[in-house]
Amino acid sequence: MSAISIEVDDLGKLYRYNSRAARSRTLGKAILDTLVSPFGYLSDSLRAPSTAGSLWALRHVSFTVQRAEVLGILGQNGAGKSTLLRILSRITLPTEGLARTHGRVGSLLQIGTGFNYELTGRENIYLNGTILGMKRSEVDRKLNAIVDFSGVERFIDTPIKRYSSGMVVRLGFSVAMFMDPDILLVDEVLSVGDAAFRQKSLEKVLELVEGGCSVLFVSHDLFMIQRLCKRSILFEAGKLIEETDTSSMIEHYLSKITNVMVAGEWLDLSTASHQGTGEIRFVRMRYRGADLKFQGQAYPDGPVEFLLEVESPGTRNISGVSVTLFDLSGFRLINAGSIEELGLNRGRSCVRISIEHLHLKPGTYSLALWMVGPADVLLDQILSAAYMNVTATTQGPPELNPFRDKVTSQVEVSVVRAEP
Amino acid sequence: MDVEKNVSRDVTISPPQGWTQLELHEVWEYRDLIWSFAARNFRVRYRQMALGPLWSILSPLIDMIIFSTIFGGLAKLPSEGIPYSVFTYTALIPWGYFSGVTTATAGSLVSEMDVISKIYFPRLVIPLASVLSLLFDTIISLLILTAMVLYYHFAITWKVLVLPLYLLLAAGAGLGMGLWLATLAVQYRDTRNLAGYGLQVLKFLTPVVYSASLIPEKWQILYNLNPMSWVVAGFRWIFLDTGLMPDISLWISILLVVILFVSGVYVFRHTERTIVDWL
Repeated sequence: MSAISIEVDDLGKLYRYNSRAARSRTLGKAILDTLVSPFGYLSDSLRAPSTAGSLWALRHVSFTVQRAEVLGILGQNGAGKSTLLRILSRITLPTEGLARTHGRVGSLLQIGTGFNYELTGRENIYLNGTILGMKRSEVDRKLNAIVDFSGVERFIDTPIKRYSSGMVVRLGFSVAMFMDPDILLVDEVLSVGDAAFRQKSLEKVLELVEGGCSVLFVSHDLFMIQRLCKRSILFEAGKLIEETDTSSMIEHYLSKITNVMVAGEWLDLSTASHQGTGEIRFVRMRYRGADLKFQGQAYPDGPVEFLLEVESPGTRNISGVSVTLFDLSGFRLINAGSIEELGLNRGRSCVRISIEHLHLKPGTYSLALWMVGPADVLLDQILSAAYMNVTATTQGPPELNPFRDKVTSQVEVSVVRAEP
Repeated sequence: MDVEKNVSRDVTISPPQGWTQLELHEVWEYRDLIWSFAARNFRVRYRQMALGPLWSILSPLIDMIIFSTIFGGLAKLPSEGIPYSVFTYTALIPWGYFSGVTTATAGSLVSEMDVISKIYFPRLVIPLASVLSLLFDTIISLLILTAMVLYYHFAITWKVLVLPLYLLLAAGAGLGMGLWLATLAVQYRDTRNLAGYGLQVLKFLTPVVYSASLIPEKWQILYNLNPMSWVVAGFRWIFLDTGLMPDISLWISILLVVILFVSGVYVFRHTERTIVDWL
């Protein structure tokens, strides 16, 4: 087996959207067009492909992936990540350039492709397995392992329409994990399922990598990318604009994301994705290192305070509010807040949550906000509200005492007057 | 060691250039998927139905009753001295197989869009799976036919051995037509309606509900170019000991089917490479 798994050389994909629409879309019209101008199609096909009404979803892309390497692919929506995976998994062909894959390609652009809800778990394992390119005899041998891994053995002969969505995902994932690919193309799908299963899948992927499998990994989930990939490539508008190690890539990428908080500055939450009744809503938030060392930055073991501005239609009580911090691998680290009643006035109020010692290493963290009313009605929840940086102090990262429990770190919650 | 790992190979992905190789060995590598799709088609079709697999027998049987009543009973179409019901049922089975294969093949790319847009496999697998799952229905219907044939005191003879060849001809004709239609359907959405009417016209150009002897002598040669005429005639020859002995025009229509089929496979393989961009 060669030392290189994937070679991509000057790859490009042109999508036409206008000329397509201009051409006949019904057979009747096509016949009519042919009668009116019998050689029209000739001029169509003889003309050099024009770039009007078309879009290079991907252009001049070249890179290689070594064996047993996990390469992350970053980029905003429409940057060309998915087009690249579609070409490499041979769903469509490129317009120009060349790509070579060495070894069995497992493409996971979707979990449980071809699953049929009328069929049982077992029948779907065979169906999905053969769609992924396995032989039935191969599925025979791996059946027990697949079923074990999925954790749905009790329902394996039940039609999957009776499964919970989590069970369906677990089943689909398990089949994919046992196809023993030499190259795995993954689009977003690793962030499905509950936390425990996600962890298990991640370990399984790493196990495959140890066995020599190369992974091309597309995700918006920076946590996952950082955890899995040493090296990443960044796409923008169909072009590969950067190829470097993942941590500096993520820094670069985050610098383009708008919801990274700057210490002491308000971050508007109106465009964030809210859940809950919305009767009382988070409006904006900010944080600062409370002792004003390091220009108000948050630093390891230092104090930090969050201000959450909320808007209430009248005098209301809330019975719980919190800020949750996750690391870049999606691990929940700190949940600071209260489940005591807090009274809010009509209009804007400010909830202050201060943490005496922030037991976090330097790095980037993701924040989620949560607020419930009486009887635990979910008022508002923002799962990815913002990113924040914890900066290294000049003394370097402190040795964090692993025995000091996060919970014992003093957290204070109070309602303060909203700032103008 | 993984025996199946022999599928692991080097693949070069490059822009489409002219007409491809058929690469049918690749379809062969995916033969297990053909089986999986066929099993799924069959299971899904019947699992939700009260009568289950009975439906596969019922639909030609119901057709038979309708046609026997209207054409045999009211219109009194001649059926070469054979009870009309068994006369038409013998033709309805291969016709149903042919039209089923044509329809399923024509719709295959559009109906499996979900899967096609997410993963690669030779798309030819989908129509081939329909050929297989519909064959299963046909075999069940053939068992009913055998019972009817025996009931009317016809004999099952050595001629049954030729049956697979006629089924193959029907499947080939259905695939050939379906593959062309599937290719057209990607670009022109109204192909499906056209195909529906086309099949109806073809059904009456085939001696399904009447006897081929109704066709005037001078039209016979043209009429017999229709491969399905030969399949129907063949079925009647096998089970009812009537109909046509094969002559030169059988070979011509076999040749037609081969041309239709091979060209259909070519255009289909050509379209499938970029099909996702079109839909």
